[in-house]
Amino acid sequence: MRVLSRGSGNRRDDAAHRPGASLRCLGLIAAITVGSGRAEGQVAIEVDVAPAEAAAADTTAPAAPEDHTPAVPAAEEAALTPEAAARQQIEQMAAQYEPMLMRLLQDDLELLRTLHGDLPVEARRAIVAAGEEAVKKGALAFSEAMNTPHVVPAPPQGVAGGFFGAVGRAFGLPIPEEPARRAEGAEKAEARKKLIDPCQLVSDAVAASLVEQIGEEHGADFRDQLSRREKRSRAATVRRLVGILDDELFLSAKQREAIEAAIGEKWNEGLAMALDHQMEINGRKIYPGLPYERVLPHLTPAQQSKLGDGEQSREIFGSNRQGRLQSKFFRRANLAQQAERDPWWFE
Amino acid sequence: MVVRMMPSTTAISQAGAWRMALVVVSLLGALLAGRPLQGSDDTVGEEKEAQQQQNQFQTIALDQQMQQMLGDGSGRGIEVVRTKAMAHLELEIDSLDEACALSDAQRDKLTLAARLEAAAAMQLFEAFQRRYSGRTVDFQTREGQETWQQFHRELNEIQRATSRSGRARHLPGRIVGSLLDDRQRDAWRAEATSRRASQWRRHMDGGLAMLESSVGMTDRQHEAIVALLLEDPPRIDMGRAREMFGDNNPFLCWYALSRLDQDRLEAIFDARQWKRVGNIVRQGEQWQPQIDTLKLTEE
Repeated sequence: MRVLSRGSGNRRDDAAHRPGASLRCLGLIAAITVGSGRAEGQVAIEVDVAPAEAAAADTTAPAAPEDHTPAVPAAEEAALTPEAAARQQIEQMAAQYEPMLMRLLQDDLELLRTLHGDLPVEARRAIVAAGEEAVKKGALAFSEAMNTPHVVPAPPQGVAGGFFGAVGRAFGLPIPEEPARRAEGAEKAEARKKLIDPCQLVSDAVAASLVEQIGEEHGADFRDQLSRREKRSRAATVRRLVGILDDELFLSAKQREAIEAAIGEKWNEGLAMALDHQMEINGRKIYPGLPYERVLPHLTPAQQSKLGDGEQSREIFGSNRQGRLQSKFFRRANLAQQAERDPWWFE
Repeated sequence: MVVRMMPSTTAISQAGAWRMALVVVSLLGALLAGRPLQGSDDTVGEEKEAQQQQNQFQTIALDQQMQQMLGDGSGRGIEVVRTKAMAHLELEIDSLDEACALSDAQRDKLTLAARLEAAAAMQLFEAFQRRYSGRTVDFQTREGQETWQQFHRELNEIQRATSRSGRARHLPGRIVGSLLDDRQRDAWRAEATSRRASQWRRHMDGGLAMLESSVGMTDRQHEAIVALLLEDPPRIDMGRAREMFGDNNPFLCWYALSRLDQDRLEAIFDARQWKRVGNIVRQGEQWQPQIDTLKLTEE
């Protein structure tokens, strides 16, 4: 009898669950039991067992080497601590973000060349070098931010502040902040500090280098253009979002105008997410990042009912700072055109 | 490894009697239960499981697909389509009412037209459902793949035909002009013009964002090009363009650039930028045949 038992973990084995299988299993157990008492055995039973399994069955036999796992990758894997593996992943992802950020740098350089087409050669080289350094730094920072799990704090259980909190609230007294909440707040603030906007980092590096090379006045000019470009991009995002709502809700011209203004006043990067990540839950479209509270007052009751209150979109991707950062990065990177390196900068 | 136990012809020892009994029982059990257990059963089981899983992904029941794609997976089936279509048409009438202050009679006529429109859409969907109900697509066969493609083609066609974005062509859209009085018609036209301008602006935004990334446009240049594009927008059916290319298509903007007075356009840019803008304009020009073929030009 040939037994090829491959460790199937917790998988249910069809053969073992067929009718009669238990009886056959019993037979197998019996045969092995008999085998173990071979000194007194009366019946000849020949058991042809594969080496590894036989070794497993016979505890006295030396352990057979397992041949199904390649030795080298296992060793490498074992050598990587969880921290090192996480770092490796961050670096791999950073390498993927670098070309995207490089396109953003090219955008900035294009604008700069339009504004200051007479930059001296040394200044150009220095600006590009600063920009490229920022690209590397930004890609790494972005990758780190994306690999940091965003933890949505669980809603507080029980009464905030405990008994004294409840009494204080009843009498309108100030409620002392709990140490746990303070710690949580500090932790969140710390995590927030770590989030670096890679797009801003690159533009800032180019602007700073420009100031260093040719003076504050030109740097201000460049910064002003960057800020106007960003404003235009945001306005276009808002217009597009309102257009999508219009398709859905038949907004009037006045409503479009009012909603555009309302959303534009409270810009958040998560808005761009609403353009590309619309979802439908229970037959209703939801727009992550859309400030529903700013849109709803401008709608008729029928339109409000169709749009809903956005409750389901609150905690969806794009509603936290990490998501917004990501949203901005991809909003900019998707618009940036792949262009060949402009030799003018590298003369 | 071979484990051998030597037989004995002598009497069974008392100590081994229970083992002998077990062996007999087990052998009987094995015989009664059918073929003996084989090591490969485990492998066969896994293969079967994998095969079943594979088959599960290789075949799709179209009824289930229709439920998911049309009925939101709510189990209410195609009825969801009717409810949604009607709710949408009612919103459209509300919007018209808001702009033009419809009389009750006008509203009733438009509502009736909306119901007829929804019913016509349902007929299309129901015929589609009948064609594909009970059918299963097997992706392993050529026939299955073709059926799947045909299924999607037809579904897209129907969705496009009944799409709200082509509302000027649906029944309420076709009759509204004749239902309204002059004052209402003016208000309705003003709304339509404003909507069209906002749709065109989105296509412009799509094209200009890419253009400014390529040529490093300043704010002043951007304003100048927007003014030119708004001054002479192309006569594109925006509803149909949206059906075909979405709401933010850069090529439509580039096509519009190619139709502008090129001297005025060139004057906006410096020589270096114009070289690149020229390439983009040429890409836009190449869209003319496609726009003609798709009949995107407004009548």
